[in-house]
Amino acid sequence: MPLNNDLSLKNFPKNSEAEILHVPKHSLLAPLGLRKGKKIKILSSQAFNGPLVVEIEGRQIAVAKDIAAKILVRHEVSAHAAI
Amino acid sequence: MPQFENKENKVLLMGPPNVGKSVIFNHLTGLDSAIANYSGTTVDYKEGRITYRDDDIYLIDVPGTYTLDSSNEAEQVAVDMLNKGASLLVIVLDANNIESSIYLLLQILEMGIPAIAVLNRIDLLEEKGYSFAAEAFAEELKIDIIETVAVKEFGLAELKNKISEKIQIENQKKLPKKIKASWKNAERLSAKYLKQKSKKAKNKREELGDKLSSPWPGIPLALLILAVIFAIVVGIGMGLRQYVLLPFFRGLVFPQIYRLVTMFTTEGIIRNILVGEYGFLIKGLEWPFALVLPYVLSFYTALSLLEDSGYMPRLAVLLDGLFNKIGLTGGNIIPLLLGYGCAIPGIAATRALATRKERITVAALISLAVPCISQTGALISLLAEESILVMFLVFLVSFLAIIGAAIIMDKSIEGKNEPLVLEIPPLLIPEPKMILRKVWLRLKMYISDGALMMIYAIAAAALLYELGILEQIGRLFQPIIEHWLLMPSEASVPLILGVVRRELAVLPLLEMGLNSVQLFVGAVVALFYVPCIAVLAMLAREFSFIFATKIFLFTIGFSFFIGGIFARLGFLFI
Ligand SMILES: Nc1nc2c(ncn2[C@@H]2O[C@H](COP(=O)(O)OP(=O)(O)OP(=O)(O)O)[C@@H](O)[C@H]2O)c(=O)[nH]1
Ligand SMILES: [Mg+2]
Repeated sequence: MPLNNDLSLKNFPKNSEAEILHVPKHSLLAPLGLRKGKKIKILSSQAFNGPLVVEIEGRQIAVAKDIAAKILVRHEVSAHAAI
Repeated sequence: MPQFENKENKVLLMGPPNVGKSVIFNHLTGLDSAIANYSGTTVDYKEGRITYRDDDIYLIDVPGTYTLDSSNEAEQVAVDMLNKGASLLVIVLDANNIESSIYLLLQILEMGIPAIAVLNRIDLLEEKGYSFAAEAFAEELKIDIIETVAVKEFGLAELKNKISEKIQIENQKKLPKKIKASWKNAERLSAKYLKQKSKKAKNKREELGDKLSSPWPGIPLALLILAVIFAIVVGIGMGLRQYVLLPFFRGLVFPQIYRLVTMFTTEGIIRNILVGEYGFLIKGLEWPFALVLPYVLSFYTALSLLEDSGYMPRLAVLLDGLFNKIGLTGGNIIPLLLGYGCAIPGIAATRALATRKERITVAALISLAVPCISQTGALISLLAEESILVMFLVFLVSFLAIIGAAIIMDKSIEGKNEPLVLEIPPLLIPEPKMILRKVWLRLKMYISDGALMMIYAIAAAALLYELGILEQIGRLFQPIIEHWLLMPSEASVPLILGVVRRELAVLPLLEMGLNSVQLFVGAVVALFYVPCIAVLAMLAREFSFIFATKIFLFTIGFSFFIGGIFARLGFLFI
């Protein structure tokens, strides 16, 4: 999937909700709930170019910006099932 | 290798990190596996025994693992343990994060070993307004499930019965249904059995948890929390020492010891060994129990609160950006903070770090420039009365050294750090009972390992001193101590003793009548000097003998080098 900046989690505004479209390969992301189709909310972006703090189904995870840049999301949460 | 590697009745306690496995283990075995509110508390397996009627059941507390594709050395231990097989698995699920727990459960069940599922932390799930239909879930998987709230001991008696029942009754050993371990299946099962009962807004504790992990007001709060902790550790430590322990020993205990010793000995070598210069009945009590113990007490109280509340990962998140600038990652704060207590658990905790490079860097930083609490206590005893300024300077030097060494190691070790991916656990109110227990454990450990070792070393020093051998050895160091460090030649004593324990590199300086510059130089040399023998052994075990030797040689060279430079700079200013 091409990296499209508009879709990158890194550029998403704080306190907004989005739906995850694509997650890069990483052994910790899936078990922490960062999977395709999940709703994600950005709680904060840390100082000094630190990580993003996100919430998925009530669980909070800090994700470095380098990784967040590769997570693709879209704003509207549509009803269609994740494939 | 564990003694019951091949024993029957081997039960593995497995599950995701931070779900409460060690709480359950401690309750069932009466042992003390480390517990804290962050992922990666248990970094090696720990064995315990449950006796049930006539049966001995061997329970093993295994490091938590998010999935069976391990992401660090601690998780690898879990995978290895599982691959070796067991009679029974107790798989602890996190009710609060059920979906990923189910995935891990399915993965583990694929191994085809009899299993019991435990659904823990249901209190947190209910608090969020959800419920999980455990019975129906267990029915579908053909597995036994027990719901628990481990911290409240709810459900644990039932778990114990279930374990022995499973072990004893052969036909109970039928296997659970095999369902392919996929996220799709985990999501399906979770959606089917997890129900939202009511929509609840975040409560006060959760809101506070969020605040602590966002830059505003998290950063100012972090500064405040760290300052308060520093004040508590130093304040309570000094207060206990000054107003309770020193008067007790000096006013009550020592006069009695003098009286007894003078009654039974005559003037001479024996008496001196007992109550003379390094008289071990005096120093052997005063140093470990009046000067160091108060700080052990105050530090571990503070650390336990940080650990159990879940503040450490929040601090890691706040610091990650800054840490990246010096070649570390935020998660490294956990082993570093533990290192301020004792280097050994600090170095052990590096197993939960993502890369070998980070492990080596953090272990080296702890060995070089992080004073353990015993040494900190000794440094405060040495410096605070003389001059608070010198004390702050020493801590400043320690900070700068950590930063400098981190940058250099980042540049010189190949590879890149793994970018941070860290779970922030719910903020929990620490249970006073748990805190007391942890502090008590630490004290016991300090007395059995630390204080005793110190007493032996002091006894040996007393003997060598009276026999004149210490002076002989001192003469070897004399040129470097007098001409390079500009210290009196007796200052060789702490350097010899300091190899045994870190605080012994400091305490003998107490009564040498040093001036401020010498105090500062002595403290800085002690800070960077060889970490104690036990730490060197740990480094050899965890990394390699060569690495431990390198650390040994480097710390000696570096401490002398820096000490000499400061000695010259210092005397310029006076
Ligand atoms: N609210 C609540 N907290 C719990 C429960 N069980 C454990 N905890 C807390 O969860 C935290 C983690 O407990 P541990 O026993 O260290 O977890 P672990 O599974 O051994 O974690 P690792 O060793 O990191 O794999 C501690 O702060 C416990 O006090 C529970 O049932 N309810
Ligand atoms: Mg544990």
